[in-house]
Amino acid sequence: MKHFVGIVMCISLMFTSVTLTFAKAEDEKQYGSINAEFSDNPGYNEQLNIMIKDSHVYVNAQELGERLGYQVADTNEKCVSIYNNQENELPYGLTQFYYDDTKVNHMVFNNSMEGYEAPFSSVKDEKGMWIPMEYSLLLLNSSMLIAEDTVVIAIPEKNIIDTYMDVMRNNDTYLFDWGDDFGYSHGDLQVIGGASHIINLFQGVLELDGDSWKQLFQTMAMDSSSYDSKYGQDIAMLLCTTSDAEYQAAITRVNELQDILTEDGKLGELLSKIQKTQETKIEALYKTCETTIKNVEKDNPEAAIYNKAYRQLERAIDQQSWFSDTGESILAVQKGVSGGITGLNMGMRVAEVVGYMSEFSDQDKFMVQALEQYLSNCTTQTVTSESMKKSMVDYSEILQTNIGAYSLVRFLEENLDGLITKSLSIGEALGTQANIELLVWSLASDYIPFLSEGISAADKFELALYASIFQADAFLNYQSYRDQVLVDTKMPELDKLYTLSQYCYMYLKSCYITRDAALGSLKGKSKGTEEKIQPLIDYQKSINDEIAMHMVKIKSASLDNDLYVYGFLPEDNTAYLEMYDDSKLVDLVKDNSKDLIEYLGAKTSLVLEDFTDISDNGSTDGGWEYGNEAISFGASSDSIDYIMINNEGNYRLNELQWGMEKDVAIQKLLSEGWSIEEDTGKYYSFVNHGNYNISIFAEDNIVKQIVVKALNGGGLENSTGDGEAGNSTYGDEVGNSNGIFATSDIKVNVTNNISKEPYTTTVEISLGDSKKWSVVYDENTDGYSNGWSGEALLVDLNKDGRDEVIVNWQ
Amino acid sequence: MNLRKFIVILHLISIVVIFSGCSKENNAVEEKASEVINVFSTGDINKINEFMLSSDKVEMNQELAAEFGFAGNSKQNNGVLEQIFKRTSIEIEDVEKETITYKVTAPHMTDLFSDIQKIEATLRTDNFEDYLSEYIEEAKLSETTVKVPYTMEDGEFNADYKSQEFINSITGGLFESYKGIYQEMLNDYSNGLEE
Repeated sequence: MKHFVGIVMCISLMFTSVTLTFAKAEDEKQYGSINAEFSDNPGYNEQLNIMIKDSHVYVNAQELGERLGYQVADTNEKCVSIYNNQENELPYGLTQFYYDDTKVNHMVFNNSMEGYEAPFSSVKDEKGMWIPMEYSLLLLNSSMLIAEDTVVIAIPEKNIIDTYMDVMRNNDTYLFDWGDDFGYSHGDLQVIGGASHIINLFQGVLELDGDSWKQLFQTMAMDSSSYDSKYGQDIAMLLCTTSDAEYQAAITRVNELQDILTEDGKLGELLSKIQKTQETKIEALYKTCETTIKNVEKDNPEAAIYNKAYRQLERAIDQQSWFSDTGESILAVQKGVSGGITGLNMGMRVAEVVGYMSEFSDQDKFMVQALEQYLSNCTTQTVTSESMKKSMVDYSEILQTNIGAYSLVRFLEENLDGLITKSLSIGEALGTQANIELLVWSLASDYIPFLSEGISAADKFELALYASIFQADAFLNYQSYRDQVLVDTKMPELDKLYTLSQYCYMYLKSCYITRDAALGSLKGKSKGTEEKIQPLIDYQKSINDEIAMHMVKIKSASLDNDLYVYGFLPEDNTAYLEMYDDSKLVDLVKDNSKDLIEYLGAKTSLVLEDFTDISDNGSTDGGWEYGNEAISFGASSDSIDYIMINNEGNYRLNELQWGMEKDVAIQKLLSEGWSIEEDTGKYYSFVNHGNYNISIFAEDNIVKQIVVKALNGGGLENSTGDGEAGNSTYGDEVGNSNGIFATSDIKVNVTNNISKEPYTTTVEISLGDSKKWSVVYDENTDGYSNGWSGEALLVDLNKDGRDEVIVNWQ
Repeated sequence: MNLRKFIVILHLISIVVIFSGCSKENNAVEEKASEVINVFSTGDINKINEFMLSSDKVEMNQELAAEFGFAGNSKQNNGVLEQIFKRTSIEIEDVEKETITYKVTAPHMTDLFSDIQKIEATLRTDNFEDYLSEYIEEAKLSETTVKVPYTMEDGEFNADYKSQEFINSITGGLFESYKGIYQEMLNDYSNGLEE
C-alpha cells in the first residue's frame, strides 16, 4: 500500500505546476502564498504564506507550525521554537530555528542532538518568522510533494525515536502490575486480600519518589526462583507471532496511508485523471511507475529525494520487489478479475496486498530476530530463571525455521486471489472477514496448542505470572540499553538504534502478553462478577491496543534509516546540506507565479481595503451579509477607500468610500467602465460585463452602503427585497466569490444571523501581532448538504508592505 | 654493566610500569565507584534518581522547560525512599577485577510489611505516610555488603546499580520485604481465580 501511495504521489509530480501569488514588499524579499493541501484535510485547498529571499524558499513558521498542530513561540527574539508538549498524535519535542543563523536545535528523544544545521538562515521580520520550507518540514516529521498547483503536505507522524519517548512517558501504564492493574480498587475480583491493600498503599507512597522507582519495584517484585521452563516456549511463541491488536494496528496504519487517496483529495483527483488513460493491464501500471520515477529524478530531484513516498517508490522499483516478486500471482489473479474492475482498481488492490505482505513479512522477521538478539545479548542481571530462559533460547531456534507457518504473510498468500477480486477494500476485507481470526492468538490453536480452547483461567494466570517475570527482564534490559545509547547529545549509530528498537519491542510485547494473559485469567467468573469487571477489562484492552500501535511502528526499524524510520537524523542533515540546491524549486515557483491581477481575475474576486473602523472597534455586527451571489458590507461606520473588482477584464475601482458624496462615487464607477442600470435617487445599481453588480444606497447624497454582487452563474435569485442580501439558493450554479479585505492589523468578528435565511455565517479574522488567521464557515444549521466554507490567505495586494486578507468563498 | 645486571634492572622497570598501570586503572575504577557514594551522601533524591535511574531525565532548553512541561521527574516530595536514603551511607570495601564490594549502612526495613500487617486494620491512606516516616526514623541501622559487577573499557565505566541485590541493600531490605508481600497478593489472587 505504501508503495502505491508513493507511486501515486510521484505520478502526481508529472503534472507539476505551481500557482503562486507574489508581491514584492522589499527589494530583496518576495512574499506570496501557495496552495497547500494537508493530509488531514484532503480536498481542501489552504494557503500558506511563503517568502523568497536570496533564492531560498521560506515558509511562515507560525502558520505552518500551528497548522501542523505544534505550538509556536518566539523565544527571546533569538529563535522561533516549534514544539509539542501534549499527549497527542504529534511527536513530543522541540525544534528551534535561529534568526539570521543556520543554527538549529532539534530535540531527539530527550536531548538537543548535535549535527543539525539549516541550509540557510531563518528570518524574522515585520511579517513574521520565516524558516526554510522543505528543511523545516523534514525536521518536523513531515514532508511535501508538489501536485499540479498545490503542495501536498503530510501531517507529522511519529517516528521510532518518538515512540521511545512515548514509551518512557507511559511506562507506568504499559507495565502490567498485578497490584496496580488488578488491584483491590477495581471491583470484586476476590483478590481483596490484605496484601493487595497494603501494596496499593505502598505504591502510592513510592510514587512520591518518582515513577521509575515504582516501576523498578513492580518489575522486580516477582519471585522467579520457583518457576521453571514450563511456559518458556509459549512465551517465545507469543513474542514471535502477531497478536490480534498488532494485526488491527497494522491495518489501521495502512488504512491511514490509503486515506491520502480519497477521491476528494488532490492526489485522488490526479488518480482519476490517470485512471482515464490507464490500460486495464497491470503491466501498464508498472510501466507507468518506471516512467514516473525517471521523470521524477530528472525534473524534481530536490523536491522528491527526501520525500518518504518517493523513497518508497524508489526502493520498490530499484529492488524490483513490487511486481516481479509476485508476478505469477498477479497474472493469475488478473485472469479471474471480472470486467467490472478496472486496471487501476485492480492495481490498487494488488498494490495493497503487496504492501501488506511486505509489511507483515518484515514484521515477522523482526519479531524473531528481536527475540534472538534479546536472548543472546541481554546483559542485565536477569530476573527470569535460567531454566526458563534456556527453554526460550532452544525454542527460538525452532521458531526461526517455521515462523512462516503462523505468519500473516501465509494468510495473505493463501487468500491473495480472493482479496484482490473482492469488492471491499483490502483493509476492510482483512478487518472483517471471519478467516482473519486464523491470524489472531485466540483462534490460532492449530499452531499454538497452548492457546487452544479450554485453556483454564488458572493456566492463563500461570502464563501471566511467567510473562510478568519476562516483562521485568525486558523492561530493565531496554531501559538500561536506552540509557547507554541515548545518553548525550551525540546521535548513536544506526545499529544501536536498531538494537534498541528490538529491545523496546521485546519490552512492549512482554507487557502486552502479560496483560493479555492476565485478562484471560478473569474468564469463567460469575455473570455478576463479569459485569463488574467489564470496565476494567475494557480499560486494560485499550492499553494493549495503544501498545500494539507502538509495536507496529517499531517493527519498521531498519539498519539504514530507510524511509526515515528514526526521523531526520544528523547524518541525513549532513547529506542534505551536501546536495542541497533549491534553485530548481525557486525557479519552479517563479516560473509558475502569476500576476496578482490575473490571479484575482481567475478567482473572480472583489477587493475591499482599509476597514479602519473595523480595525479600531474590533468587530462589526450584522453588516456582513451574503448570498452565493452577493456580498455586502453594510456597516455604516465603515469606510472603503479602495475597491477592486476583477473579472476577466481586470477592472479596478479606486477610492470608493462609504461616507463620500454619491455623485463622486457614481462618477468613479462610470469612469471605470460601469454602466448604470437603475437609478431611484437613493439606490443606484451598476453592472459591468454582466458579471458584477454594485449597488449604492445613499441618504442625503452621502453613500451609506455599498453592496457588491457577483452575477455570474445565474444572477440574483429570489431577492428578498428587504434590502439585505440576495436570498441565496446555494449550489453549484453560481461561481465562487472572493473578498479581499485589507488592513495592517485587523480584527473582524462578523456574525450573520438572518432569521429568514437558512445559512448562518460566522467570520472571524484576527490579524494581530501573533495571530494571522481566520475562520470562515457556514454552520450549516439547516442541514443542507454541500456545506459552505471559506478560507483566508494573506497577500500583499498593493505591494505596499502590508498584508491584505483574501477570503475565498467556496 | 654486565648482562645479568641489565636484566635485573629491566625486570624492575617492568614491574614498576605494570604496577603503575594497574594502580592507575584501579584508581580510575575507585573514582568511578565512588560516584554512587558521593551521590548518596547528599541525600538528594533528585540526584540519586538521576544517578540510579536516569530514565525519566529529560533535558531541554531551559527557557522553554517550564512552558514545555519538561521539568523532568521533579515530583519527589518526602517519599519513602527519600527518607530511607537520607539515613543510608555507602563505603567501598573492595575493588576487584570485575566487581566492587560496597558496605552499605541503612535503616533496617526487612520487617516493614510484616509489621504493617500486624496493625493493618488501623491503617488508612491518610495516616500511612506518617506511619512509614516514623517507622523509618526509628529503625535501627544495619550493615550489609553487596557486590556490584562492573566493566571498564576504554575508560568507560559501567556498573549495574539496578540489581536487586544492590537495591535491596540501599533500601535496608525493604525490597525483599516488598517481594514477600507481593507474593502473598499473588497467592490471594490465585486462590480466588475459580468461583
